[in-house]
Amino acid sequence: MTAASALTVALIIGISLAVIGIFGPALLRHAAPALAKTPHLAVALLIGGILVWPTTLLALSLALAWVLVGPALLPQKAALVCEQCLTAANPFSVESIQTTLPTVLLLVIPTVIAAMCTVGIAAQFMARVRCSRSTAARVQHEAYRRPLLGYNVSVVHDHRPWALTFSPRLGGITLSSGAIDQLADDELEAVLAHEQAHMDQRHHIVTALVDSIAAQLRWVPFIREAAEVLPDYLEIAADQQACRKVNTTALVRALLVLGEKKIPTGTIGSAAGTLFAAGPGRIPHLVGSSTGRKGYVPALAAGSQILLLGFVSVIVLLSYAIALLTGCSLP
Amino acid sequence: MSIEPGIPTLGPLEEQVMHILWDHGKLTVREVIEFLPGDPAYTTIATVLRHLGRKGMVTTVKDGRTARHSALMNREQYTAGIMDQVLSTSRDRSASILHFVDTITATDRELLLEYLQQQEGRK
Repeated sequence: MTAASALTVALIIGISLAVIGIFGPALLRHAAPALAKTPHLAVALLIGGILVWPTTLLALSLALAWVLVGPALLPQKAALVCEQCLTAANPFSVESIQTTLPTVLLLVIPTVIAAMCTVGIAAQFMARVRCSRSTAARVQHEAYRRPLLGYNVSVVHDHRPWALTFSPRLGGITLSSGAIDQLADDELEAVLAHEQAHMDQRHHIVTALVDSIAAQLRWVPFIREAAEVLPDYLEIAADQQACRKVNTTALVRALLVLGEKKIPTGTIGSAAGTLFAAGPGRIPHLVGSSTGRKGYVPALAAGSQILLLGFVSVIVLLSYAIALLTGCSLP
Repeated sequence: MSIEPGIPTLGPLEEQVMHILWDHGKLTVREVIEFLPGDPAYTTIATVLRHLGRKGMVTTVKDGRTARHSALMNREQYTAGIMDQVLSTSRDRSASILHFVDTITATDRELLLEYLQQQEGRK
């Protein structure tokens, strides 16, 4: 491969990355009607996109180190080792281009940034786990366990109707005595089936992971948008599983009872109200008012772009990993 | 004495003392000790009650020459306060808590009611 064609490939990948990063939110908004019909696929696409985007950025920089050659910053012996590793990791036969940018910077800077981001994500994740644990402990202390329509739940004495789910280890399904009093049996069953779906599908881990990543990379519009609309798709996925067990009408009635604004929202609540404005709309989807074949083209475009970027990332990172594991030995 | 705003976080012993006050009403330090398992030191419980006072959970009233302590809010108000905080925390998404539903908009409410009417009409 000539240097010019290698640079063209890198440029195309860079443009794809920029397009998804900047115009991804618009793509997701247009794809929402189609994605809502397959919420599991939508969740996979969003999580995949959030993971693939920064990984491709790292991979692109590492791949450029195969093409661009600059002045050596390292001592001669270290530079030779580095060069051997680069050659061993490169699965393509590419001509190099002489630049004034030291090659080692293309390796070190993205690697250091990636390591810092990983540490930040891990710290954020642990903070969320601690917050979830302490919040759950406070609630569970006020609650008592009881079997309810075949589910083992925690009940809190509160006249206001509400239901929520912690991860199974932190208490699982928790609802107020007000919810039990105000909901009919089939409505309660719908709520419990919905909450059980959250636990079965590990939605707590998904939200913790995605929000932790998004907290570090909020400057990327696509990642910010994907993290914000993800909860809507999780709700739709839980509704879908619940509707296999219970009547949709019962779920609709339960939503009307528990959706009444009885709990002060404060400033955080009002912010959350606008947070999901760009989402697919759980309620229209549930009652079947969002029909038609709209959104398939943007969904396909987003999916194929993310798959392409993922493919590029895997090739580059796998090549480096194999080279490092084999001691940078040349074939 | 400065009082912390909102529903404060209570330690295990503070929670135990609060439950005793909710169950038995106005008590002296010695009476609180009698309800507690083991034999905690007088000064420990006096300190716990002082901390609870600073957190806005307990008030102290003079009853002749003795001081009696009582809860400033009942158990239900405390639970409701905790739930307000928990529900705000989950909206803030700083913790992984999933709601069945937050609040529904007027448009969504209309859609749900319309759906129910359609279903009723089909019966």
